Amino acid sequence: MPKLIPRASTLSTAPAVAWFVVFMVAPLTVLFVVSVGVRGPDGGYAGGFTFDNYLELGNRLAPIWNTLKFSLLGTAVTLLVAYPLAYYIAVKAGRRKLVLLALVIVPFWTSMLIRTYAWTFLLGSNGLPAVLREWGVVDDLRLLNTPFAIVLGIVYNYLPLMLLPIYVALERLDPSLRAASKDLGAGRLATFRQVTLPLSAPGVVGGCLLVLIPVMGEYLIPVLLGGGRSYFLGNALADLFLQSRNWPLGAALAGAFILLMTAILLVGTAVARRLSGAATTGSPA
Amino acid sequence: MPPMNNISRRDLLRLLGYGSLASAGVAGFAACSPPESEGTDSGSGGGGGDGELGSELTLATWPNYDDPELLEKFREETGVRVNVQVYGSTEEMETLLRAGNSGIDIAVPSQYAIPGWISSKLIQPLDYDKIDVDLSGWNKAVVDQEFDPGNEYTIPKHWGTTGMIYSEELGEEPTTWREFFELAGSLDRRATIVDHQISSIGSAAVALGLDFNVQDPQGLSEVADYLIGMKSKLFAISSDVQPGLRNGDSWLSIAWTGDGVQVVRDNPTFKYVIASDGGEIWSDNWSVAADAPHPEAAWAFLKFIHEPENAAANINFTLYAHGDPEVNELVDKEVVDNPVVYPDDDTIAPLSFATAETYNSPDRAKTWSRIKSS
Amino acid sequence: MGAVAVEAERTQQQLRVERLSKHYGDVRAVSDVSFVLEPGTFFALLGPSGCGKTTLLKMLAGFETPTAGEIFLGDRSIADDPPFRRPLNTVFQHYALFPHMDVAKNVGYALRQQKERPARSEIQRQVERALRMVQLDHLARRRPQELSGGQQQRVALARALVAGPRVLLLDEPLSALDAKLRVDMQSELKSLQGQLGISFVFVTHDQSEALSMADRIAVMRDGRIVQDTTPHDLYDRPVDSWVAGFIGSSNFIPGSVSAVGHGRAEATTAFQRLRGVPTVEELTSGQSVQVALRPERIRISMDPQTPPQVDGPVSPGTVQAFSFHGDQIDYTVATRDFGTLKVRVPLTGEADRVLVREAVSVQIGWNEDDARIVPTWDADNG
Ligand SMILES: Nc1ncnc2c1ncn2[C@@H]1O[C@H](COP(=O)(O)OP(=O)(O)OP(=O)(O)O)[C@@H](O)[C@H]1O
Ligand SMILES: [Mg+2]
Repeated sequence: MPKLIPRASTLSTAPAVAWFVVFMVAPLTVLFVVSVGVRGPDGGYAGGFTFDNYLELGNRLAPIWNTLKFSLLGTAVTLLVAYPLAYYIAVKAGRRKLVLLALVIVPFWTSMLIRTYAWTFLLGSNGLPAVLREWGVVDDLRLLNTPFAIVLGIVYNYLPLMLLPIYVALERLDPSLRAASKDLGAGRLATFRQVTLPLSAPGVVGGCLLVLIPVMGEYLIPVLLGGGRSYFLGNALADLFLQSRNWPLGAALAGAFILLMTAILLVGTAVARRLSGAATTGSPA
Repeated sequence: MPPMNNISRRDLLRLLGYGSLASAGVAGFAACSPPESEGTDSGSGGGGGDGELGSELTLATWPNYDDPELLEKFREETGVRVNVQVYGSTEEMETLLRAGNSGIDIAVPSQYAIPGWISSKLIQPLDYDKIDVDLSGWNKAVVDQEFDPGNEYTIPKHWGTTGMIYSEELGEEPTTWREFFELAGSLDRRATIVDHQISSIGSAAVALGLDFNVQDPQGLSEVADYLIGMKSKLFAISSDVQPGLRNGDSWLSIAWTGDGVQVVRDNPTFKYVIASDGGEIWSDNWSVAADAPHPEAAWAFLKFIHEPENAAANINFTLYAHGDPEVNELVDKEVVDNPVVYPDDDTIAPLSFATAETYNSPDRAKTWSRIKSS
Repeated sequence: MGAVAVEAERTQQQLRVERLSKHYGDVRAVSDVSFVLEPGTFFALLGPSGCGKTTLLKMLAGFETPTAGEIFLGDRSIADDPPFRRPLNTVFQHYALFPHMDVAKNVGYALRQQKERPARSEIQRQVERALRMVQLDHLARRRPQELSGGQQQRVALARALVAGPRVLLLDEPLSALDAKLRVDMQSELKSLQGQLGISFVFVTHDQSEALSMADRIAVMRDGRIVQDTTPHDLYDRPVDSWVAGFIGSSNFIPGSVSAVGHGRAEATTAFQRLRGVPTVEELTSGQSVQVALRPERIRISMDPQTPPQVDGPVSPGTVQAFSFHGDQIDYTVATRDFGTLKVRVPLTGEADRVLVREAVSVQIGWNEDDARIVPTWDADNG
């Protein structure tokens, strides 16, 4: 690239720098300053400089583990549901492709709150369990406020985020590659394992990141479908700010949370880049 | 007629913590609105309106806490339009007031927040000359309390209790918190406790023979062990208690008066019971923000809302208990005679107000998060 | 070199296709196609775009299920076998190399799919041999995206051959290459096929490619095979005017049959009666035909006074246009007696003598043996 005159370059990057300062640096700075303060006697933030809040996080690992456990499980199940669906739409659906995609996406134009709240009635004892009881399938099935309901809520709410990147990866995959694999003696399963899956891996990684990261910040689903018995980081943050009004500790937890997410994102994108570099454009080794 | 739409909206708001988001926007907007716009349409709009009142007033309150017809009547009489901002918790109102420039004129905090609001100068002393209220005849259970001696800063809007709701399906009739929690721990995921440390830790403490306002680490860890031990037996830790009860998922629950009234009204197989071994009494109280943009309108509104006829109308709408016997004379008989709304003096005698220390205690907050995250 | 395919003791088998059809709704992509391939045949499927070549190939490979018809390899029907069980392999039009595998992995793919998977060292040995065969052993560690088009082409070839096919199917394998590389690859493919001794079914829409490489050419039109014969025969005896025009180029003079016999036919045209060799046996009097004249078979004399030495018709004319191709010159000549004709003159070292410009007067003519009487093909009732 030719060297720009310094003034011009300063000018042209100014909006980006401003954006970065306003939306990234400033909030993170505030977050950090608050996180090393102390809680005021009536709650809130009262200045100071101490790392006690970070040390206190050691006693609050439960929500972190809980969040990791559920979000990994939820992401995995979402993947298992989304992949076959994406495969069907991208490869088998033919002309119905657009209709099916629309069916997947359109429900998500309504508020997540309403859709999730509706599940409390579907899963409550007058909903699905009542139907199953009627049919004599099970007697006393309890679905609401169970880990199952939380995972279901995650799958339901985040399905499109998982499905779309996988769909795009599969859609871009040249069908003649699958044909070539079969031509060379690989059965359906072998073809899937050796060709389709590895070549859609960047989409899978992308989808997993798109789901995992917001699910880790999930607040609504554990409250509505988990009955508040499962405690996510998002719930811990909400409680720290809204109930106990312990801003410094909340800020420290949020900071740790951001670091965790950043780490996941970095690892995830590195993996995705390696996979997609291998799968599509191919940079010289 | 109580409106049907009030079903647990407060609880849902509280549960979602969305109130703060919604109202932050409103408050921000109000704070930014140019002062010139105030009072421009008041003269024409108000029948007999006093020009000094301005044209609007911002009321930070809870969902379905005020009869819209009454607010309309106030506008007709004074030309002042009341902007209602609803919150799911006192904590959210407090967050905005502390941030300053909230635009709030009148706030309705729960009693436990009041000492902190006074010491932090978030609210100002009431101008009793202007609001023209005499508290001398009021129910002693709710006026002149420790949280605001002599009611210098606040007047109880209404009061209520934290009791237990259970359905006939339960086959038992608990009357104490001890019985409640024993039952809760013996059932397979049928009991709900509210997601509020004050009410849930307090009630469990009472069940263990401790003080409702327990704060010492020893007592709190006893409560924590107790609740953590039965957590897997609970249906939910949620402030939105009504759907579970109404759908038959939950058979008994800690509940506030408002939930009790609504659930029992709609389904008489439910009972709302105030524990005989103690528990919580609470009040939500009128207060005027120290930086209220429209103090005169605030005084006028408090005067208006305490006229017995208006106060009674509001009680008929909200179905909570008022502290002024003169008002209660005018309240619908079925409301006054409803023991859920107006429990008798003996029933409330063992109850305690949550104190400011309880509200602010970091140890209680930590205990609660331990319980929830276990 | 080159013994990859031969070494597995392969029973050479005949490929037999019987009345194969494929319909997509109303579209008859392939209709009633039959042919028999003896082992070791280089068989070209030639036809314009959309005539059904790829569809036919896909049915052979097993990617499309025939609407009707049978496919036999030896005496076993393979029409119901899935692609991965057919001993036929395909070189895809755009190669379809696996982008996430290096060249060696691509080439060894078929070996790794076998039920009794060979040892690593054996796979490596076979891969190396196949790569040597296509002269790519030095690029085994490259990814396909890092290869030139011709190199990718060879990888695709090696990959298919490693599978040990009885018949190799190639769908326009050279169409993505530039002209020079194409010619090189043509001869390479041809010699490879000779060494391996298996049949190649080679799809192309380039007639010169088909003519230069194939032992046999099947010309397809609208889903049918219209002529299936040797390149020489195809060029010399096209079954109708469409084939005559599609293979090489021809001048056509329309007419109708006025006499047939003794290996000659006579057609009445707008100009004169013209005689020539009929390309089909069943010509009837009055049938609509074309007198087809290959441009290189028309003789030209640059001296307007001397007609060319031929036993057929001659006519004076004027050169209207010419184009120089290095080894030949194409003239467009407006003749007095036969309308405008294309004439091709090979250059054999005496360029000066034949290189003339526009508006020059010439004489042209042809031997009767060089004229062909071909049935007129009519798109509407062909
Ligand atoms: N899946 C399909 N559905 C409907 N019609 C099809 C399908 N595949 C091919 N066809 C039609 O069948 C006919 C033959 O197609 P095919 O691909 O075999 O032609 P081709 O000879 O290979 O042409 P090209 O030289 O352009 O590759 C075409 O008219 C095409 O439009
Ligand atoms: Mg084709």
